[in-house]
Amino acid sequence: MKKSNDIAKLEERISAFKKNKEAQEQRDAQMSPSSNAAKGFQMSVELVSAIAVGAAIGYFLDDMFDTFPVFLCILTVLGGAAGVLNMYRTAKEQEKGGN
Amino acid sequence: MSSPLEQFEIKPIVGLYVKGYDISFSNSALAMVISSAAIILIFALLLRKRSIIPNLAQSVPEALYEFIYNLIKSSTGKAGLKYFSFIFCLFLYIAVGNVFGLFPYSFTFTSHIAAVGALSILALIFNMIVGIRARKLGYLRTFLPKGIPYALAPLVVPIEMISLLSKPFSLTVRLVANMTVGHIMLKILGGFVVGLGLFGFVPIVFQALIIIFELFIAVLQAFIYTVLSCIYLGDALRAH
Repeated sequence: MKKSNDIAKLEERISAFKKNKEAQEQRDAQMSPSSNAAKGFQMSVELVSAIAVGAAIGYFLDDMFDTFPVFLCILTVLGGAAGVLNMYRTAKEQEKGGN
Repeated sequence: MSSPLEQFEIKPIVGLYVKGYDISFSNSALAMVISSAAIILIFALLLRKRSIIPNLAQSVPEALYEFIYNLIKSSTGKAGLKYFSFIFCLFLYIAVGNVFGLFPYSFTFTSHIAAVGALSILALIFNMIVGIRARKLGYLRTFLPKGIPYALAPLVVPIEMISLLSKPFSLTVRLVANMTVGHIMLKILGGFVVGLGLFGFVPIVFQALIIIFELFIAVLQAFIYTVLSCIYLGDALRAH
């Protein structure tokens, strides 16, 4: 009788420890260096770089085919779309990674 | 007083011109050579005595090795471990370059878009080759993920292409911006020390704190660069 009581106590302690550990891990994740400011900066860079790359490709295509500003207009808009796509993928990655 | 941007100026040390192209050995190149040599020297020194049970010196490179190994394994799976040496070199090179730039009178080559951009484009080409070798024609699926109707291809393919090409750019801008901002901030605060005269100790305290923070940022940015390279390598190795 006493033994089962001990086991129950031990299980209680184990579950309490697990809860504690989970809470600690969550706190660590929140405190992790790649959080918040770095995350926000990453998002903005993702969006801006895609637009910039799209515009640059458009500009060079225009330069090549002498069609200024057709490709520049189209590819800047597509670059914006690519930027949003990149941001979405980054957000999914961050959600999955937990940090 | 000198401008805070003066520290980023590239000055040729040994002038060299080939067919009108300037390929001088600059202070940036010198910084790259020194940091590469430092990596080799430090690793050679630490790994001088190799034993199965590592002593303190040997455990430092081993911890680094295991850290990057687990990183690649978690983001690309077993298939990515073949390219361990590339990712490991990338991490060491950028981390040491960032830290080296914090020394007085040194030069931060990671604060130049040309230097980091070339590295990122190299990584992109490497990823493409790896992806094509692993998946052959299936690599073209990168530009048209499964489940998207072919009618949308004219819209999706250019978007995916821009998305792929923007990756090295965003990698570069992130690292370069972080390095440049930190060094400009240090220089401006250094200017305050002179300008404030007797009260100059206040910015010195701030600078001491910022230097510690910059050391942390230097390693963190190298780590972020490596993590993202791993993720892109994983993307290249398998379909979305």
